Amino acid sequence: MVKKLLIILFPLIILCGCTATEPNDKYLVSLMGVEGSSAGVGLYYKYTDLADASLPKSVSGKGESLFEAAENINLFLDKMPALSHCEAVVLAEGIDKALFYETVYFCRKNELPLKLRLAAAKDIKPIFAEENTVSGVDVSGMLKLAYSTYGFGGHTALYEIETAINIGKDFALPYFEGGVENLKLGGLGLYKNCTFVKKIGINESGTYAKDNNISGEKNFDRRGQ
Amino acid sequence: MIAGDSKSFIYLIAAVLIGESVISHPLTGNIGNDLLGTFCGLIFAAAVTFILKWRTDKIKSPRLYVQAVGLTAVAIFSLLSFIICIMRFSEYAARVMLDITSVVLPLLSFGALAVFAATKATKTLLKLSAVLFFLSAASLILTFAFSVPFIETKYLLIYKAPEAEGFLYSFFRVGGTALLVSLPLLFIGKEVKLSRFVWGFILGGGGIALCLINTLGIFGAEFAATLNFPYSYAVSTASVGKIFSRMDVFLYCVCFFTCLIKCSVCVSTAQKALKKLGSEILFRKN
Amino acid sequence: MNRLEDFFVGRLRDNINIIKTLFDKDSVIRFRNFSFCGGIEACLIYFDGMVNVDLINDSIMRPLVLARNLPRDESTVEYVYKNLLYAGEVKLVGEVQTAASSMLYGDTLLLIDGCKTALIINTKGWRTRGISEPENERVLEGPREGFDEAAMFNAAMLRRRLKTPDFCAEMTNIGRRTNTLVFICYLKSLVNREVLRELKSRISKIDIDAVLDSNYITELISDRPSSFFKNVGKTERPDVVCAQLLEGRVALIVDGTPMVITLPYLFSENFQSDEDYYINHGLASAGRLLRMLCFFLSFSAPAVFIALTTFHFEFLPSAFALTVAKAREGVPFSTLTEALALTVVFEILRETGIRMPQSVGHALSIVGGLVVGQAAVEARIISAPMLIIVALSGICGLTVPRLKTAVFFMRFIMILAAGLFGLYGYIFMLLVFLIYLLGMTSFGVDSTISLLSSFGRRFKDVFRRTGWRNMKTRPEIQNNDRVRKNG
Repeated sequence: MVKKLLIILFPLIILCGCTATEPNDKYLVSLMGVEGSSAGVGLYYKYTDLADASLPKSVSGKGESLFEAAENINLFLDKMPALSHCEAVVLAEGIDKALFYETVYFCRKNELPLKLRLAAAKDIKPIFAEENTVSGVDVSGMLKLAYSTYGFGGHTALYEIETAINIGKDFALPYFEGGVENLKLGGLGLYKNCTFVKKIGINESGTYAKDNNISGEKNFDRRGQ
Repeated sequence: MIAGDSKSFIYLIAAVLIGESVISHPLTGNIGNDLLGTFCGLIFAAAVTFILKWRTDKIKSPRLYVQAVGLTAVAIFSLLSFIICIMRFSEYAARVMLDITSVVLPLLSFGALAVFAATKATKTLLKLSAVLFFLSAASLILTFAFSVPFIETKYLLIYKAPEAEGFLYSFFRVGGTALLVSLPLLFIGKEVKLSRFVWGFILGGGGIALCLINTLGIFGAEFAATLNFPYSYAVSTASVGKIFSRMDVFLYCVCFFTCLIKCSVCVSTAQKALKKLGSEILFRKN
Repeated sequence: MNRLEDFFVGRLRDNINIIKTLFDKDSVIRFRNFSFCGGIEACLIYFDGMVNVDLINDSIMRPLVLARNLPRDESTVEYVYKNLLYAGEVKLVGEVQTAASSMLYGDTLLLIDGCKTALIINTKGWRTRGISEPENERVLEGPREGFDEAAMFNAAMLRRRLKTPDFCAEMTNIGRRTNTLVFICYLKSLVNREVLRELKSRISKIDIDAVLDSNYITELISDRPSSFFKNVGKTERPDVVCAQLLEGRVALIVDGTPMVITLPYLFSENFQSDEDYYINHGLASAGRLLRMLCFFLSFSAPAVFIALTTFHFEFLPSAFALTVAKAREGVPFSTLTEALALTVVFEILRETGIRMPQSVGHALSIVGGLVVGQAAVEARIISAPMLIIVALSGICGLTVPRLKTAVFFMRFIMILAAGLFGLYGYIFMLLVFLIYLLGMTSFGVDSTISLLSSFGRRFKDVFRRTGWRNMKTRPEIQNNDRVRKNG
């Protein structure tokens, strides 16, 4: 009797378990970008195409919300984007508080790693231009180097920023500037009430980090890997 | 009885106490509530357990109605514990381990596994708890050790005085859950020395403490309270070199093992209590 | 068919006819009629090829032919039995069946005219394979003797090592047609009495036509004959059997096979090597731990790889994830199908390696390596990482030959579980096997009894092999005499 029951149950159970996807059926997204304008929200991905793994590719999508923009991106891609390996999210200078919150919510909803870095830039289009070969790993590496050299760029993990938001604390994000050929870290972008206020230079950024106790080198070394 | 029998009871108690708290320890957003509430809750549960153990050791032959009440209480508490644990585990399995899957699959399969383990002899359950507890303890210590560089001592040092509401919530959630399993453990461990219970509570409490310190130290009390499975997310931020980019894979094993032991013990105890209630009290042949 | 007589009668001719009727049409049986001591008729009956003919000539024929002044009545046979024969073992028999059974095992029957009892003389002389090193249990250091197919000689090999009256070898016959000789060997002061009782009870219930190998008995007496894990031990080495007997186990020597059964069987024995006790204990311990690791890897490696690459991609480091994904580009099969197919291919290669003639061995390894390995990967039929994982799993499985059945089935089950349910399925099946294993018994003794021991004792001869100075007690298989060494 038990054996007959198991024979009936087994195929039913097997049918539930077919949610596997092959690793080569995905694009690994390593860098994400968000910008906002009156026209709507722009979402950018930097992903790796296995056919030409040395050069990351870019894709972008627009929509009323980040989720809509993500759906529009999927229309351009022939494989599912896998966000589980995203190293960093770059936010354009002009995004407002609501979009900032939405970005954080988007990251949590799509199960992006909690330890991914947030960064800011005046304009994210040069970072996600086709000619620009920088990837999420490169961005993460630049932040790590800045941290060990100047002492700023750490403590910008998603969960740390979210904690700051929850307790109403101001925060600062590493600030990228430059064009397609000469992208570099220019300092820190100061945020108040989740809105960009101003950018400070490299030397001032080091001082700011020390004054605000966000220059613990030991933590970053491990997180940056 | 081989001496090892009762020593394995220590691991059984510890594993049952840890249970599903690895996945879903109650967090209130205030480190004072979380730490003090947990500690006091465990002490309260331990105290009640030891008093009950001491009393039941003294009573040689309780009256029939006392036996009936006791057995009914054991059966109810066991089933309640089982339901809470399996629901929590199924939710974790469906949302984290299996991703896009209905909660029914882990509920049924894990329930069947717990029942399968519960049908085995007590010796087998003790051996299983010994093996799984050591594996779980090793995983917990490993994940804690690798998470230490990521722990911000400021989160643990920023002490907020506990608030009454939050403290009581933490106290009763932790103490209540621990107490829910004490009666079943007392029932199946009638021959076991009190010292085994003491060590079991110490080891189990230590495991819960490790998870709590890890979670609060990495995320801080406020952020941790917003998460559904705080310890899982906490260890996912830890990494070891380039091989392990996240450590929450070890947590899958820990929660599976401790929840299985807890559910099996609960099912086994409920079954034994109901059987005894039926055969010795309700349908007793005079 | 004439009814067979149960007992011998007084006339020689009638007795000969009884034997001829019993072995009707048998061309191997020999009848040697002769007379001695001035007219006493007698007949020697034996099976050609099973006896030592020189022994018959020297120990039976010569003294009888040279005998003088023998009584010529019923007591002739008794006189011959006590005073004439030179043989080491002689028995008086009156039952035909007893005589026939002895003849079938190489004894010679002597019938004397006028006597209702016959003589059975031990003249066993069949050819055996001789003592050689067991092929599947080779050691670098330690004894090289192995059992052969003769149960009597195998029992003698044990007796030679255990020079104590405590050693006991009880004889029994199993098999309606083969009447296979089986020795139940144990040390009287150490054996677990319940196990012995249970074993004898199970043996007495065996009702089978023939027993040609010890595995026939194994399957009939096992607690769970269809279990992946062994309930009884088997070995071809007399030193191993002696060590098992000294721990309180029972050994079954079956005639016709060099495989000796030992029971009860503990799970930890699967990881013990025959030379563990002949080499440095540190090295032996390392070897044991390695085998445990290999057993775990043999069924886990493919399953965990499948689970991580198809369900839990987020756990893989970015660089490794890209390598795996790139290696799989263009492969038409899913990871699960690939794993199953490669595992089947590996098993085919392994099976072929056992069955094929040695002369073809080299060609096969080239075919296996080139075709399966290189060509299939280059043709993008399979991916290189999966090939490596399956090969690793296969090699690890070969380090624990005693668990080959368990590894064979567990590997497939784990691959399926992980391929369908990811890590959840893998851990689920792992726990199912663990619970099953922990509940296993072997003749009433827990197969994992050492897990209930104190922590220190568990490590003496389970996870490692401690030195002989510290090995003071025997395992908990029996409670008669636990002390192995004083001081």
